[in-house]
Amino acid sequence: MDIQLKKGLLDAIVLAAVKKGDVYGYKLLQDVLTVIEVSESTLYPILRRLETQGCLQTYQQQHDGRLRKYYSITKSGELKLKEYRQQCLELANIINFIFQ
Amino acid sequence: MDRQNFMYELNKELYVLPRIEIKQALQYYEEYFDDCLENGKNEFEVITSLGTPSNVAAQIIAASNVKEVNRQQTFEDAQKQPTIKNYKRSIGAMISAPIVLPLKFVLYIVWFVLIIVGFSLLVSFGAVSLSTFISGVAILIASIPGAIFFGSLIFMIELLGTGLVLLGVGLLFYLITLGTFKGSIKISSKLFSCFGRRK
Repeated sequence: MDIQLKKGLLDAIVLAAVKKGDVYGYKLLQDVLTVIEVSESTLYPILRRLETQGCLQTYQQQHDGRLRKYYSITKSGELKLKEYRQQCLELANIINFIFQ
Repeated sequence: MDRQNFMYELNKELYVLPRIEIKQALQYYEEYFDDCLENGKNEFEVITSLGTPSNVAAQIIAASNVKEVNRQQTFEDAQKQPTIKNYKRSIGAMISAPIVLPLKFVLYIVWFVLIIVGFSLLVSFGAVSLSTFISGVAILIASIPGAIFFGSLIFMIELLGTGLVLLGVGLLFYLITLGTFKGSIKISSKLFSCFGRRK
């Protein structure tokens, strides 16, 4: 897929994936990989950025004697996702038009 | 390259970021390694799928607004991490600041004074050399009509001698001026480079 388009969609995909339930880095990557091909090195910067923007928040939980960082969506993250969904609807119209 | 090497290299490549950002990223990738291994992958597979540490680091750095994060970090450092290192850093900064800053200020003043002194020396020496030179020439010129007016050869020779002496003194001061000019440029440039290194 086109890199620019992919970049724009990745934020939305990550937010949507986290909205389904709190999730840790590795699991999130697996979820994202089911819909889009992405390398691990692209996912962390996105997560970190969304976190500093206040769209995601994190907490740690014990797992097998080590800590795991879980991501959960915030109120502003949900608003952002709503925006993305609106934009994706427009995109869906465009896609329909292209395929007609 | 094994996991330890990868993390070490990644740490090194991230040096431009604030400490808290580096810590977060390293933690994330440590956890990622752990989770991958837990899910049956081996270190080598994980590393090949991640790419080179410098590539991983470049993506993290590109995505982070270094300046914005910096401000946040000092705040977080102060609030959340009152570690010994932080105390040491702040105490060191507090102690050295009142000494280093006035010291720098004094050095600048000294430099400024030196420039002014050099400049005034230059001007005065230049003026002395120019005036003696001009008066020497004037006396040399005046010696001929003076001798004719007074009708005395000895007087003319006296005037010629005085004029030549004045010319010599003027030349001497010209050389001194030149020397001062060159010297002051050298000293000020040296002092300036000294400041540059200090900064």
